Amino acid sequence: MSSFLPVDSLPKYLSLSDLEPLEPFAQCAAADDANVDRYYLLFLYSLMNNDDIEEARFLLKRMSAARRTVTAGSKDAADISAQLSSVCKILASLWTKDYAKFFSIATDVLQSLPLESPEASILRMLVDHVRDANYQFVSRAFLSGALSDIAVYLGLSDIATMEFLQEKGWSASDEDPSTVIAPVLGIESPRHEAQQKARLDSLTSLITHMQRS
Amino acid sequence: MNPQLSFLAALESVDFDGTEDAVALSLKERVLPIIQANATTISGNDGLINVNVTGHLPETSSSNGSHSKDGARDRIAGGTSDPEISLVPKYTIANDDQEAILTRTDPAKVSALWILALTAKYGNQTADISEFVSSANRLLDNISGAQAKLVPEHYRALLYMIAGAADALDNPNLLLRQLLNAALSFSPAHDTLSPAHALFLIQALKAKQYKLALQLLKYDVDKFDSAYALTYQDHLRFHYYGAMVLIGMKQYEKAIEYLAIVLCAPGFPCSMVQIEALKKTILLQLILYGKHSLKLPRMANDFTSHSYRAFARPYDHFAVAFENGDPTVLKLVWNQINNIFSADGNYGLGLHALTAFRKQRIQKLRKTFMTVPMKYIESNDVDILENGPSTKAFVLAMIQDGDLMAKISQKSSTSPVIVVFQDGSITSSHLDALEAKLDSVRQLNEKIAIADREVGQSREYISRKLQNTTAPGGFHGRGSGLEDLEGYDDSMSMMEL
Repeated sequence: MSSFLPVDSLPKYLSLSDLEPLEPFAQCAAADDANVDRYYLLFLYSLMNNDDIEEARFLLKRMSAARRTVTAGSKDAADISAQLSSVCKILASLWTKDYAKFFSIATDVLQSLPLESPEASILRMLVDHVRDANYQFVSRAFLSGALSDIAVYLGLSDIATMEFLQEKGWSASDEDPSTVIAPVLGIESPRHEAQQKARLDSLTSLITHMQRS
Repeated sequence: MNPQLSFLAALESVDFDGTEDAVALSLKERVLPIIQANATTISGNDGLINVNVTGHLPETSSSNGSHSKDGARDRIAGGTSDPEISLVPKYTIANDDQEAILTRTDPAKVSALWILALTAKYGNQTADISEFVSSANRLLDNISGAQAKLVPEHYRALLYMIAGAADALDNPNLLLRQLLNAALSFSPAHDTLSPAHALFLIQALKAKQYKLALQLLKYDVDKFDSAYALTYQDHLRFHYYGAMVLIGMKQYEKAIEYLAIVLCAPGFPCSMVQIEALKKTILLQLILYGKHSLKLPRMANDFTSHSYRAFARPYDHFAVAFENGDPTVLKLVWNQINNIFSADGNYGLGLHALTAFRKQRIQKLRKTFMTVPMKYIESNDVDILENGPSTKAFVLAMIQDGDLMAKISQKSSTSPVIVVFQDGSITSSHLDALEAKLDSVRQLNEKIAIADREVGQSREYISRKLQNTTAPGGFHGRGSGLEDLEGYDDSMSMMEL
């Protein structure tokens, strides 16, 4: 079996298109090659960053099938295995939408990684990505709600969550400071509505024509 | 004259700078006859080539070509006929020609010859697998679909040898991308079924390469020619395994379309693949629409319909309990039959159906209420398996996934949480999707019109039409023997990774 290329030799800012072509080589590499485990870590984080949780699940299954044994007694192997175990838990938390668990595990893992390592960089990106995506969800799902409920989605303390939301135009409820109220969103312009309606009308005419012919 | 020299000499007269079809035609007229003249004929089932003669993957075969646990199924499905023996290659090329092809030619230019050479050289169990894989890799990376069509039985045999090598090495990823390339190269428009299509999907499922499999499924396959060493089972399997990939990727509506193609396939008797397709269709209909229909498409024949009812009864029971809406009854039925779902590889889909049941109960509240307290939803919520998230978390997840158009409102920590249902508004993305769908329907209409004209003018159609007008009796499709499934283990459980 050949050795997998050193992860540190890969470009600093990796994308999925950099990582996907390397999978066949990773599958053929030795079971205890630490570079392969680091590759899978980066690949899994990248998939999660791209909201491709399904593919991340399948990659985990492929990885498990390809790398069933790791040489015991190797310190590097033990460290990498712990990281792989953590990324599995991170993936599971995103899969089950348990964001409290996600942010907790991600914080612990970041503390254990060297600051400038590619794994730390991509995990920080993932944390920010999940927070941004969850804020988008919160902004369309809540008219008002408990600060503690929303804090879970953002992975922040109640105070930090309040600051975060206030920057986005949210306000605390007069009745209860621990409840926040979403900002009122802008209404679509009449011109945009008219354009949408015209487009819908033309598509409806096309459907009618196709039904007749 | 040395036959080997004459074949290489003939090769020199081929203009490889021409189109793919022109090169293939030249090879067919000038080179292949020479090689075939030197070849050894294979009689019956004595082939050098280690291909399961039923065309099934080696791991699933049994001596009589069937793999059923229930004898009754065999009788209904027509016994143990073996329709695929005609697909075994009828000749193997001379050793000298093999070596000349593999050492002195470029697989990118003479794919047909390489197919013949590889099947001849490596078609026995003692062949060097790693050497075979390396050579097959070179071929499939640059294979010409037009040339593969010149030697269809050998091409089919080669593909099954590759699958066999992958199984022997316990590595379904082996040459997987190359198999995809082979399937896509078969026709420029990627719309023609090839022996590689179903085989690639099977290997992709085993390798959990669903995203890769979607690269094949994004093309509609609507051309099928038995001259390319294809069988009825290839058609069934391609669409059935394609549906399994789509289910894995949560594209349920397209999966139902693929399964409908399997169900509509003419044939007497019906195939076990079709019965398995029906089981999945029932569950998918429950997940998507909250109801099922055992009414088969009108193209399916009556005997098939009766067989379906016999074999899919547990699914029918489950569907009836689902539609009745009583969670106690559904739970009872689930506890009775989930082992059947598991044996069929449908346990994961069954779990998704139970989640869909929970979702649809909440979605139905929209028909009655504009706002509803979360407490009310909790009082009516039912988690059949009792291991899911809380009602509030479940509702929020539904909103996040787009399964529920609603917002949450809670004025203070002491006031109740209210769910405010929203009307769906049409957005630009909806209109984009609608426009794309209409465009694909328009293209499909054009293809159907062309196919309708071609079939209507074909000799076979005209002669059958004349027969039908002069004598009673209908068209009887080609029979197909008992189908053999790989016993795919559906690990789509949403609780596990």
